[in-house]
Amino acid sequence: MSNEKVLGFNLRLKVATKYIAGTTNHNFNLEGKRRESIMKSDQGNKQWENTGRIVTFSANLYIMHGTEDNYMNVDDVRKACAANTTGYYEYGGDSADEPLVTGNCMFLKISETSDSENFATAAVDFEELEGSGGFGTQSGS
Amino acid sequence: MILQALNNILNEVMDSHALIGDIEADLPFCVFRADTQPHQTKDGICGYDHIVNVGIIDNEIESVNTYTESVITAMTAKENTIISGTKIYAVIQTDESGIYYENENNVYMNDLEFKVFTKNR
Repeated sequence: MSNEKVLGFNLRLKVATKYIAGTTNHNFNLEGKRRESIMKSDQGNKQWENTGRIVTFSANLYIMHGTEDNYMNVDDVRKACAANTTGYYEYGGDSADEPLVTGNCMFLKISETSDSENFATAAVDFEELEGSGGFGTQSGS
Repeated sequence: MILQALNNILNEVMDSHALIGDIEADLPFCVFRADTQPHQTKDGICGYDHIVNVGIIDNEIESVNTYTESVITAMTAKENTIISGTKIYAVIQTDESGIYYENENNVYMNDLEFKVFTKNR
């Protein structure tokens, strides 16, 4: 298969088996965690080793009320942030064999914007729990 | 569809025409257009913003003023209603030009702008 670009809306975030209703945008950050050291025997060359990864991500969304199977509405998200709820997450494509980033994450905070003449929006921040992360592929279709 | 819904709302106040070409109409009348912006989520469209412009035209300044108030009242009274199949969440007036005299045709005009939020087109 040749290389193909990926459309943004095909990359989804699922937390605790649910999507967040009204999501318009995700920001996903994955960074290797490094520990640097230098000893005299290194003859002036700094050494480093990888000790894991740091993953933070956020979702921007329209604030949605109501209930729908497999979706968290804003009430669910507010309560999860207030309690720093943790849950398994998957980030990636929905189609079979598409690459996923997986792990356990914590709901950190929700920031809401509600002005006088637009639909209300919110941003939700997450952080992966240290040592819980992995990679996989989507099994469903 | 939003144009049909606007036509129904404005026709309660005065003779109205969608601004999609040259029109010939007897005074007083209004013209309207809608600039539609869908709201995309990753699951698809969840609603629409429409920037709606309404131009009120008559040959007397007092008449234009009276129609302006009636149009604003009629438009903003349509929250949470379904008109011609279009579910309207809210209507907000966002701008008004103020009444001005149009020299070429010897008429008074006032341009209103509304933001209309709908569930469907």
